[in-house]
Amino acid sequence: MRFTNTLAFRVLGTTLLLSTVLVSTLATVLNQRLGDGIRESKIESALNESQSKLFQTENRFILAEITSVADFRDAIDRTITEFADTRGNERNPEVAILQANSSAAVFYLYERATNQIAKESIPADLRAKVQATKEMQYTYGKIVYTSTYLTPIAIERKVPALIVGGNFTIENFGKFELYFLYSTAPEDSTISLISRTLFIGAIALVLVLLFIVWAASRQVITPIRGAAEIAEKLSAGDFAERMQVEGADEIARLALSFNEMASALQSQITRLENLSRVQQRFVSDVSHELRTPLTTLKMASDLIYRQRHDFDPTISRSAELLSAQLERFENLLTELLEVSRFDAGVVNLEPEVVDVVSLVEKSLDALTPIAQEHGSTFHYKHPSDPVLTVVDPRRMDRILRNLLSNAIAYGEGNRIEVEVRTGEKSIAIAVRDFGIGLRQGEETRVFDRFWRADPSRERTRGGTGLGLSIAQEDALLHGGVIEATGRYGKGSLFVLTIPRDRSEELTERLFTLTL
Amino acid sequence: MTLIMVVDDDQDLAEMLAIVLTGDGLEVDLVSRGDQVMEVFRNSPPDLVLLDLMLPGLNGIEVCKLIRAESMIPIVMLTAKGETTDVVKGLEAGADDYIVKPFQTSELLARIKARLRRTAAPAVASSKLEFGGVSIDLIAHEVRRGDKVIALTRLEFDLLLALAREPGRVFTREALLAEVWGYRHSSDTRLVNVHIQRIRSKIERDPNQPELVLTVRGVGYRAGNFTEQK
Repeated sequence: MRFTNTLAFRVLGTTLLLSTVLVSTLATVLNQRLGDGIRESKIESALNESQSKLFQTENRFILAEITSVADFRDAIDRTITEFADTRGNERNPEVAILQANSSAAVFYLYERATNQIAKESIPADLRAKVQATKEMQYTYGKIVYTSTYLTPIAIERKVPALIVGGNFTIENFGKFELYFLYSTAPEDSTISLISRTLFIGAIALVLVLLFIVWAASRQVITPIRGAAEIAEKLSAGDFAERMQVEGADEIARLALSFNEMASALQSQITRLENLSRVQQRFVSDVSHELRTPLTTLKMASDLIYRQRHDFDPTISRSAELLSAQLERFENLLTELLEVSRFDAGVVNLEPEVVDVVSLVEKSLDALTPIAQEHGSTFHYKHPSDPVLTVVDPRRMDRILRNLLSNAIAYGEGNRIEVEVRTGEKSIAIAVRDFGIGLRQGEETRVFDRFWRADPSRERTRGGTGLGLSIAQEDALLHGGVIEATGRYGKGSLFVLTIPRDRSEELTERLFTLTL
Repeated sequence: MTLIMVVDDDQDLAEMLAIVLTGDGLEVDLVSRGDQVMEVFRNSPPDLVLLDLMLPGLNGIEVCKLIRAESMIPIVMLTAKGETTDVVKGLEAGADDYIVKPFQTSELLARIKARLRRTAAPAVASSKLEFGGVSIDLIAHEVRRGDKVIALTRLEFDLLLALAREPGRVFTREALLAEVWGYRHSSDTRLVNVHIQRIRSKIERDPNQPELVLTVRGVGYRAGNFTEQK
């Protein structure tokens, strides 16, 4: 059995599908929530920190008592330097001080940032919002580092960041904006670590689930598989095997009832076998018990029959009747026993290689005298070459004799045509008479036991009423069939078709069943 | 007088057989038990045995084997069962022919006479046929391989002779039945098959690869190996 056809495969497949959907949904949601949480707490702490640093800076400028441009520059430089010094810790932000356009009395542009971050790091819309309100504003962006140090071309490096900004005023120098650029790299790496962990966890979970389901299903599947194997053995005729019964669960009940079924089957079959043996025995006993006295009867009757002319006419006629009826009785007994053998299924074929053409020839020769008594003549058409095939010659001869006797009995003294045809896969013999024929619906009934088309008339013909049904059984035994057709008053056609290879089903028909 | 031993447990049938056979000028010994056959057989050896298969004491097939161990006289089985296996078993045990109950008196007499009749000596001057290392002495009714006499029943001898006399000819089973058994109408070709097997087992070097009695598939048998005449 292919694995894809097994119950285990189906169970595991379903589990894989459902658990993948479930676990991946769970992991996605978890991943989302954790990421959001981390980002929110980052924003919150960044806002708080920025707020307090903004106050500190603002206060510092107030306390610095800036009187000159130099003071102003110095204060800004120092502020930036101090911020830059804190950059040893990655959690601390880059800082930029930008000057808002203002209508201050003295406008002196002096903007500074830690680590030479580019001014483009601060998005324009954030600046607009920062200038508009007193509240801290934030957005996500990128810190752009431009390094010209020792390189002819400026090298840009971008780091994703949370950018928080607020404004403050330096007396006499106007409004300024202070921006804190927090790198989000640590959080991003945390989030991606969480995602990775969740992903690996999800796969592991699915695998574990599969394993659990596999282990659980094995407990069910193993006994079922055992039951299936034993059932196969049962159907193959081996009744010795039984399922093992362990515990008292459903599987144990299955095993118990399965075993009961097997025992019931076994005893039933044994009973039938016995019955068939008894039947066989009976047939053989009847055969022996009847045949021996019948032999004595026949011999005695023969003796009397041969000397019938020495007796007076009534006894002489009685001797004739006795002799004829004994023969009829014998035929009937023989055919009844044959039928009962078919019924008991104790017939067997004794196949030989036979030339069908000459086999038919012989049967025709044997029946020619009887045909002539009835005024019929045989007309035999056959292939010029011998037709060799494997059949039981005695049964074939019996089929032919039955078909021919039937044609003679109902042929009304007209010609009887016999033809052998050969096909690729079968051989057919047709017997056609031009006598009484068959009425509609009688084509199949002719093969019934003791069936007679016209009870009052045809009993005189002496047949046993079993001939055609025995012929049909013989044909079936060869894997073949006899089919009949006829028209009332025009005659009938019987076709025996047998396959060349008995094991193959008969599909070919060499004669059309129409008259 | 020709003595026929009738072995049948049915008293009435045995009596009837006796009436018919004596009426035909034959002498009859009646035996009703299988285990009494050999004693009667040795005391007054018959010319032919009519043997029922179902017998009290010892069944017909066993009796047949016992007779064959001592004698090559014709044995005709009487069987009530036309069952194939019984017939073949009987033939294999050494019976020459069988007749199924109920039979015609005339048929029975014909069979008995056919078994009693010797094959007429050939018109040819030679009284010996040789082939494949086997010689057939027509006068002594003896078959030898080298110096060793091979014990054949009369029927086996006749069958072998029929084949050997016409070396080129292929005999159908029916032809052999007619020639050797005396059947006018073909009946049971198994008779031929079984006896051919028995002959082969006696005269062939290797019965499974026959050289003397060859099968012609779908037709019948012919004698082989005449080119190696010694």
